[in-house]
Amino acid sequence: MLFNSFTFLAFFILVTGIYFVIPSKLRMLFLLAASCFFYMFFVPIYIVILAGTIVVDYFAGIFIENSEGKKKKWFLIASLVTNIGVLAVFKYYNFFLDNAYFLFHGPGYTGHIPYLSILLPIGLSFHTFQAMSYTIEVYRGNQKAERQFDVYALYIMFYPQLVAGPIERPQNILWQLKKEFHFDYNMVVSGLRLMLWGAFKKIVIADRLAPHVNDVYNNLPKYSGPSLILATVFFSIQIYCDFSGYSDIAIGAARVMGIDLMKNFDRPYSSKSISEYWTRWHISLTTWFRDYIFYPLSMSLSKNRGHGALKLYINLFIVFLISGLWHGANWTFVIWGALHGFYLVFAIVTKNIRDEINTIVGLNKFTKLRDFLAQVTTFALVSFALIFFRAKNFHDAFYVITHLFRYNGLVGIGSMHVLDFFIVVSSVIILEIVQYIHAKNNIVASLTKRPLMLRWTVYAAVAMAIIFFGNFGNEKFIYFQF
Amino acid sequence: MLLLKTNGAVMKIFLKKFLLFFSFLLFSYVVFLCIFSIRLFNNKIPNISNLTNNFFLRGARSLDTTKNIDILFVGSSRCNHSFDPRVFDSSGIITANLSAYSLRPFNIYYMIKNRQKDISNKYVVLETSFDLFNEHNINEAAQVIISNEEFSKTLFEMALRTKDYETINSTIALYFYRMFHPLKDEKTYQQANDPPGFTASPTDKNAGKEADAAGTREELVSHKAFEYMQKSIDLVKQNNSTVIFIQPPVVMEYRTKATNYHRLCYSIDSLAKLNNIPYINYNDSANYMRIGLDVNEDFNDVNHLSGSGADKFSKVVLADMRRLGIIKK
Repeated sequence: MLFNSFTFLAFFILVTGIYFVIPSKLRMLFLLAASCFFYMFFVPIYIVILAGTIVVDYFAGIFIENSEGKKKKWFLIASLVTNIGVLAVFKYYNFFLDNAYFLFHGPGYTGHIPYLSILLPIGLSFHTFQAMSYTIEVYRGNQKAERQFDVYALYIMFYPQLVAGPIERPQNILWQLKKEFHFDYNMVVSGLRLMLWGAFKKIVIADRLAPHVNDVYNNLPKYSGPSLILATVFFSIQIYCDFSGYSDIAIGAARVMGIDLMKNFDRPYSSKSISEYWTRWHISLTTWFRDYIFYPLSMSLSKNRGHGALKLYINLFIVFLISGLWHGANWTFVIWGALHGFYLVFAIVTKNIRDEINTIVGLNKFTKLRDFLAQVTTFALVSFALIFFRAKNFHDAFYVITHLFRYNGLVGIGSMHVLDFFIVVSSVIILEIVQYIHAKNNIVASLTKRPLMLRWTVYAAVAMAIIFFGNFGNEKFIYFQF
Repeated sequence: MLLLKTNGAVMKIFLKKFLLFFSFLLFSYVVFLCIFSIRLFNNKIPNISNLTNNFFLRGARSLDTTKNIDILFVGSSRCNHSFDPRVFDSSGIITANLSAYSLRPFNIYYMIKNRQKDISNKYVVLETSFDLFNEHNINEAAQVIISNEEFSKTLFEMALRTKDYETINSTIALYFYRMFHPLKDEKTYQQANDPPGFTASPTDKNAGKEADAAGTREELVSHKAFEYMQKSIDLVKQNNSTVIFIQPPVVMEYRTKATNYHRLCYSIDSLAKLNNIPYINYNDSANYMRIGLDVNEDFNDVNHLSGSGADKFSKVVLADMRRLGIIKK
């Protein structure tokens, strides 16, 4: 059940409607049942795996809280091993097997150990990370173990964020699930508004771009350098609108039901550096890596003396390698992560030199121009790394990189007509204007002060754009595969 | 209790406003549709397709105006390229052709259902090409039919059954469009010397080479397509007409590259036998040879006949129909 489908729209209206009218006591159970139904809509049997990890983590939380010392640690390890184990089997088993064969027998070897030919349980990487954040926070003493099983199960299974995040922390969600419900008019309207905006990003921009980007990346030799560059830039826009659009719908749907989820995107392409970019892109995952991998890694290494800067670089690099691997069991994702690790380390190492160059060239006097150039450079670096993210394999990625400035082949983007191009470009301009105004002066707050008819006209205009210009081909969300 | 009452009151306010907003949205939608109905915007909006099509419209109009039709051909664009009415005319057999681009059994069923008045007491030839028994492009074919026929409940039902947003939206849009631009005002133009319902296409000498160069493929198959074909047969029979299955010829290499060709033909044959319907497969080697098609002269592309090919084919079809006693004239 994709968020951009009419099935989801019907599901959402029905579930929310019932959620509002049933007695308070039943709301939690009802939402849990609805979330189970939502999850089972993909591959029903996988609910067994999810239920298994939920039971393990629920009891692990209680045991961790009730234990001390080494015992406590062992319960945490048991929980982490279970979650990572499930992830390893379902997501990385074939990848590891492939690489083991390659390492010991060379390319092309296929041994006797069978490959797993099953679909990846949907949202596996997201809900296992959310489950791990729970047991780690209980272990750290930042969160009390949840005794109500249905509340904990809903923390993992809450349908708006079950399949692609935001990856929540227990401190933010568990209390909200238990609080007394009251119908908050402003929250409902704000949630619906966010859902509408998310649908615009996904259906009008991302999904209108998707077939054309796919066409270029699936037929690389047909296209010339300018087409490859344009397709890569379009992919950067597509993936942002796809994922942030999904996040808006998820956060909006939860908000309608009175639950506030964390922000996941904050105009990432306006970043002036890669480090800033990572504070604005997929925030829930970045902070997860920061809190549960980068900090502990830095703490453990800081116990050893010397080479502080080098350790920082290594830690950063490790975190981004893991982040790459988290995205997909493919070396292209690892390279994508490594590139970002490299960007960050390079930025730290060369900071003084770059500052000096800026002073010599005189760019520091023109701050707006400097900032603009920094934004363009950051976007270019991010887009370059995304070539590895989008390409099917190494060969394709290298083909794109080595042909970016060659002019033989088709110029243009797949089957993209002038009309499609016009729709996408004008939608992106509208998106940027709205985001820019919102960053300067909360656009929602200023909109709510306007007369009702004006507000409704704005909402209706967005809805009409979706109805008449959206692509309803049910394009999947890119991050659903993770 | 107080909270519950407050909740209820706020919810009522919300619901009222939401319904008002929804009405406003509906009103905006209608206003936009009316604006888009101006010719200037025609086919410039991605989710509104107006596929008013010359060859379908000419075929449909001739069906409306011609009396005492003996044979009605129904099928895809291949049907439009294959049966030359002049060959039948010369033998005193009156034919009409209702074919549309990419027509699949799903579309055939609804098209026949929509035109029940035109299918009684005649021979209805259903094109049963091996590569049409799927649901590929049913949306586009549905849009073609809706764009070229007067509105009816059946066409609306077809649009809904596609479950395709663009088709449903286009149908609503066309409903408004037709208020300002009635179908009767749509102009058709004469295609060279072709009679309505038939397109004599030029020869493409490379058709054979193209088919030869292509790799093998497995044709898409859908059980639903067979179900809809069965429903079409039932509908034709209910109207006291006789169904005939004909599979027009394609370039031989094109059909040999379809790995599931024989399985598909077996299924079509079974459907024909089950319903006691005459079925002639002109891709079957013996039948193909009898037509005497020249791959360099008689094809417009890998799966459409050229004008000369249609002439040869139509003559053989007429002879076969007589030989098998399907038509008496």
